[in-house]
Amino acid sequence: MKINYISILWMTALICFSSCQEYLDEKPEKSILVPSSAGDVQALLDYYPNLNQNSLLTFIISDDWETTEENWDGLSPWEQNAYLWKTEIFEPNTLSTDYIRIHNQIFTANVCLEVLDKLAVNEDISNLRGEALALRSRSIFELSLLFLPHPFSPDADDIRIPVRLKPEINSEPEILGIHETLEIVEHDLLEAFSLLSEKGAYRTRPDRISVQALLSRLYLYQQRWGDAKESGKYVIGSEYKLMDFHEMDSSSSYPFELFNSEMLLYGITSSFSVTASSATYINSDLYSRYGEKDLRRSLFFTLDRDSLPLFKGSYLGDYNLFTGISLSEVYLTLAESSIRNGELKEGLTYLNALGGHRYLDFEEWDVATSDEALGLVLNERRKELVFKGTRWMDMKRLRNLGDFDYPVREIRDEVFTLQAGNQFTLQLPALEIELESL
Amino acid sequence: MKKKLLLYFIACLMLLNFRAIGQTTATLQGSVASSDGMELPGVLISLRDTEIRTITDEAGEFSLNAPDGEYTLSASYIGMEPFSISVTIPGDDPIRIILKQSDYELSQVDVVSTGYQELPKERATGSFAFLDSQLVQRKVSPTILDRLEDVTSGLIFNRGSNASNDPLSIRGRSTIYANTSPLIIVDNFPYDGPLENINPNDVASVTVLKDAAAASIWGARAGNGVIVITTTRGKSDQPMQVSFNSNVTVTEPRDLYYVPQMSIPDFISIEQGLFENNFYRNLENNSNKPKLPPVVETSIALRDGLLSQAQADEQLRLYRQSDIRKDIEENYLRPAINQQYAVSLTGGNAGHTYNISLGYDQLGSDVRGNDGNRWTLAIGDEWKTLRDKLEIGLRVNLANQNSHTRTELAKGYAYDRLMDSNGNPLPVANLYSTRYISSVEGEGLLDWRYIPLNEIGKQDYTSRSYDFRVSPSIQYALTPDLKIGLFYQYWKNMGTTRNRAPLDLFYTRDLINKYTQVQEDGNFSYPIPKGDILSTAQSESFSHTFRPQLTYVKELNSKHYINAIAGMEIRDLQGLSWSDRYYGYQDDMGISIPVDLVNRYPYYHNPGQQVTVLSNSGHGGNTDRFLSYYTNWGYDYSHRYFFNFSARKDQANIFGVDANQRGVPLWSVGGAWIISEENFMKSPSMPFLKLRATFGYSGNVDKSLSSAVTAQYVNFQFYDALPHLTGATILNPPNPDLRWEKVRTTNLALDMETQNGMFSGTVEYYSKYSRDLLGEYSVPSSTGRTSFKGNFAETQVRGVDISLSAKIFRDSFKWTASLLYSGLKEKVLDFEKEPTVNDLLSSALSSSPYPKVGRPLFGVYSYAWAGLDPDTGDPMGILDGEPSTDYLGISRAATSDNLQYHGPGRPTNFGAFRNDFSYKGFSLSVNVSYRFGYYVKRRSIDYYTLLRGAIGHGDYDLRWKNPGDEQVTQIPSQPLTADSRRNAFYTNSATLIEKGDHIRLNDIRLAYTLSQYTTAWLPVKSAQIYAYAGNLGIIWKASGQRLDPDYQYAKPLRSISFGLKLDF
Repeated sequence: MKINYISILWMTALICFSSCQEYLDEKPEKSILVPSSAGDVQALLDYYPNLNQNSLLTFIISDDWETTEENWDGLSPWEQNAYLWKTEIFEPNTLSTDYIRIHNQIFTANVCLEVLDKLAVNEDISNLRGEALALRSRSIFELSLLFLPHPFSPDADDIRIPVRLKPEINSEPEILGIHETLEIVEHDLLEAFSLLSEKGAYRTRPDRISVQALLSRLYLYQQRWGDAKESGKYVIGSEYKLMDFHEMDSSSSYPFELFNSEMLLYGITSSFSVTASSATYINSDLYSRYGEKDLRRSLFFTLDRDSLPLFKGSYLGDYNLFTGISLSEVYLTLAESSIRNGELKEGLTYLNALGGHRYLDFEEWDVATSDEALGLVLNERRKELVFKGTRWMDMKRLRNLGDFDYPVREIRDEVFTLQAGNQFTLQLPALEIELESL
Repeated sequence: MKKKLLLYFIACLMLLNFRAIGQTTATLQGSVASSDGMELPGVLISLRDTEIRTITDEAGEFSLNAPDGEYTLSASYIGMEPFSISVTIPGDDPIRIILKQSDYELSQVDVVSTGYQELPKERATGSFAFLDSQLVQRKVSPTILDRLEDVTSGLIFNRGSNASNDPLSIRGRSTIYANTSPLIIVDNFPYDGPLENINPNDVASVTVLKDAAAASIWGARAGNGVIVITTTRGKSDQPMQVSFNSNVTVTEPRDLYYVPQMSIPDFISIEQGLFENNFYRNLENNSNKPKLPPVVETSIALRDGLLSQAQADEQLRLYRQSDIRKDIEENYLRPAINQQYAVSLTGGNAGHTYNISLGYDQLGSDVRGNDGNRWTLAIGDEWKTLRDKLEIGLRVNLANQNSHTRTELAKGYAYDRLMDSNGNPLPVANLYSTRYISSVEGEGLLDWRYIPLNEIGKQDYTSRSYDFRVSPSIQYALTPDLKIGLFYQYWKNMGTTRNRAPLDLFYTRDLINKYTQVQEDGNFSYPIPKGDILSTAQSESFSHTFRPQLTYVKELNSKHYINAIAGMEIRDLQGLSWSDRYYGYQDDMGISIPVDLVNRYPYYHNPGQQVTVLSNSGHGGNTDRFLSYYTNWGYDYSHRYFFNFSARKDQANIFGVDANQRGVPLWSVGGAWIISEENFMKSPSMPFLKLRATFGYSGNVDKSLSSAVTAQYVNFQFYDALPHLTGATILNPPNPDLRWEKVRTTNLALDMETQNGMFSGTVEYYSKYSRDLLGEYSVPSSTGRTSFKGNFAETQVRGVDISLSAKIFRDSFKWTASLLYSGLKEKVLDFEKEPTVNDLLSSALSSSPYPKVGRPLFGVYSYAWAGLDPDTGDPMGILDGEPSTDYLGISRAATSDNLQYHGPGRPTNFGAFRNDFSYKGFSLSVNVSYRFGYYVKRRSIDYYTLLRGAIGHGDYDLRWKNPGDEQVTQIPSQPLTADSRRNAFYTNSATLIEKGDHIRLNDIRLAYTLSQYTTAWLPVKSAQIYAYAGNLGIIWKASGQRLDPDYQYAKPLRSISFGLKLDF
């Protein structure tokens, strides 16, 4: 009798045991998953509020803007330091949110690439791989603009930074100089181009057109004029068209609409605390360059009560800054690289194409020398791309090309200038160097 | 209909109780009285070695039937010495029994419960803290857990800013990032619902399991200790007993003036200064039209010529005299009143016991219009049949908790006026500047002003929860020694919140207004339609717990006693939750209007912001599964030597972990020796002396981690560019080495009692060593992460728990003093991430620990303080050994090792001292608690936020103003500009660190009891009226500061209760 009971119990236990592993396979939270399918990777890459975000730091160190002493007082210490181009920007014992985010973007792309490697290749998978490579290249390029010298600057070989191309946390980072970094960026963008479809379903997803736009930006930075032209031409041959600023309503508080016909790839600045402040004014010298007939003067800016210019021309259609890549940038890149490549006429064509959409009663530019033409192009570039996140790159490369006026900022009667070479290459936060044991 | 069914059900359960007792051959009669001649009803009369038993009736008389023969008759009654006599059946005369009062009055054997087993405390080897019903019912409160405070040895309620994540610790904290709360067991099963649903009036006893031997039976969830709650049950051979308890508690309203605040005229001059310095210019021009302080609005109006100087001065004069706290106090606050009613029925006979209790609590709030209530119903039945071989039990619990919020406290600036001098409600700025609000007046929007007093009682927010538990059990004795039992519990909880925000609320009108669109023809369209906004959230959870178990009890030669259990447990706990929102809702018609949740609309007040209408829809679900095997063996030799072994293996559905890493085997051993039973130790002066020792492991787990990369799907925010896409973010980087946390506990204890129980006490020493704790280390950001969690931290807690009790007077005037003392030392042994200076400086106020090797988990650190600069009143730190005001230099030079370390942030020596007096029917109990050996960080004036427009701390009035003040104050002068570094230095400096040591008068309970034994006319068996006063205040504290060290942000509120308890 007793034996029977016990054997029944044993049986029950055994049955239970064999099925218990399944019983314990249930995931503890509905919303979590181990990314393993194409859909999961698409969702990870579609997290555009993170992946398509650009650094506030890039904006702060650019000379497009200036602010008041009272507003500067309210900035956080690293923002104050960056505004004054101090050599040591990050406070002791602190991390940089921008630096963390760029690496997190790279990490996310790395995770996606690893998941995709395990999936059978088809068109969707290739396209996703292209997206991941393009997003990663964009982030690595941004990293190099901040923390590595320009490839042609005298200290180009002196500085190296850690970059990881695998998602494992314990993996050793690659310690890269500027040349290797840009090689990776170019290689990945070219591979992405071969994998991607011509046009993405959403402007937040990279496609062939935006990858070529990124390539033209990269080549311009590397002073590879011919390559920059070739990539640029691919872009302007696409279905994207310049907006005609004559048709824009300058009385509107934000004249441009989101996903307008010039937006090639969505990008947003990480924080609006500084960029959307009512004390973030356009550099007064720059503002004075917009002539009466320049439609951008009233489409990009509004004057506050004290007649100081504030920016309202974001391609996102609101107070967030658009820092992706735009068709107008590609036109300017084409114009500049053509002229620097000795093709003056061709360069002017691109410039005039843009000008026709930007000026009232536009008269086409026609100059004889490439120096004059370059002057025109750089002036237009500065005015067109104001508050679009490209100025820091331009400052770095123009300093190297000798076409640069060193800017000055003043706080409490103390003058700060951006002059020395090391101010153009930011130091990693001290804490990061300690953690990397570099 | 439901009610009828319920009544019918109750009636059935009660009828089952009237079971006939077996047939007889002869009758024995008798009566029982106490030595002072009082008849004793309810005395248990039994014939030894038979199952024949009865109890005396109201006249103290009994009669029982038994087959002819010789018997030993025994009589037992709580509080009386047991009595036995030889009888012959059939006998001649009725027997008259006189019971003597026992020396150990009411020293009923404490039976501790582990949730699997009940065992007399005397036989236990592990560390148990036991609270009997008297101690549980001592405090008046609506919830059970707070009744453990300061009456349970080794248990502390953490207070202050670092306590929000782990309000309760048993013997320190044994984990860093995993779950910190003790496991709560109610009636033998882990309790999954909110503890507020348990009516403390139903609780018979609480046992706290503190060491491994006590807790390892709960295995992997026992690392933080276990609290076992046992509810009232009927007793066999007890006539139906009805008790009634009711009380009312009045708690003072919150004290808005508790944290000192700088004077309003001073603050107004600071705002004026800021205005002069253009501080508000950005905000004034900001496209979001943010609200500005009234003083600033007045200054703007004056500047723009909209007010004359005289008008402006008059407004400022009014502001200087106003204080929003006064208006809130007058219009919103009141004492909170709680009422509690509980009725219970218990009883039973040899074959059946039952209990039914019903409770109702009215839960008050100190804010007008807000209240709540709770209903609880508990039914328990146990049957024994087939010559006691089969035991069947059924317990059913129902609880319903409701709360209704109709009023939210007014929000405003410190000197905002909620009403004018005639008592008419006034608008105050909320979200937007008053300039903007008046500028759009007349544009056809809804009233965009916020008039707080008009909103009192207008909100309609209800939250309800229904909780249901049913636990049937069946046990069958296969042999006299071996029982098989099946225990099961089903639990279900449904919660719903419903928040109807009517148009009377600014919240609703604001949402409608800011989404309002101006169409091309100038007319308005409303993406959010006019009407109420109804937000709902629902949750549904359930759990199944099933536990087949074998129990083996064997006594051999009355020397060897074996008690063993083995079993398995399957638990499945699942929850689902979802929420939704409806716009344009009309409550009287029950209709809402669909809205467009996809397209983005520019805000009316700031077209630069484009947003979708908030859908507020959300979905969640979780599943917790455990599969466990356990066994526990107790061996007792000659009632002197005890040995105990237990083992358990738990497996859980940790995500993405290999099957073999899901489980953890845990075990413990323990031994005890009752020395006083040895012949060589037998001494009348020390009738009880016992030595105990245990060793073993318990565990903990953090299910949020995974060994694979995990990601989470998310919806985008309503302000994002493509709100309808779905994205995913990575939660965890992979961690292939993920394991369970383990806590190794060693416990040594001595229990003793002197003659007649004059002194009794327990001294315990323990050492808890936790390893494989989830710890964190910093990784360079280039990994894509900033830190990484893994099982590599180790901590240790060592301590003593002492509880002593002395019966100082034992005659008609009784005085018992009980002392609880716990001392502990926590130390981090291994943790790879070195905390940063800022981590350590914030640790005094942080609820998550910043472990530093060699220090306790919660420590208090600061910058060294060198006083105030005599010339400027600047705070001075120390740099290179010299007083310095180079704050950047000080912060650069600071390392986690050279910061000043004051000591632990949580009490290291604590306990309570309780005195119970009684005389005739009166009893008085006074509990005093103490906490020593820790430090707290005090708040002071924060000049940085003050100079950025936020009102500051009252220390402002005591600041350095002129040279020489540094002799009398340590509060720095007001700087010219908002200097974040100077401020960060001061607010993190040693001058703001205080000793937390204090002694507090917790509570006093006074009761007067009448009983039928002493007062014949009493219509009920006993009646008690009682009064209870709680949170009476601090008796002594080490710090000279005004505030209570444990309550830096809000005052502990005093309360007083009056109640009546009747037993029929």
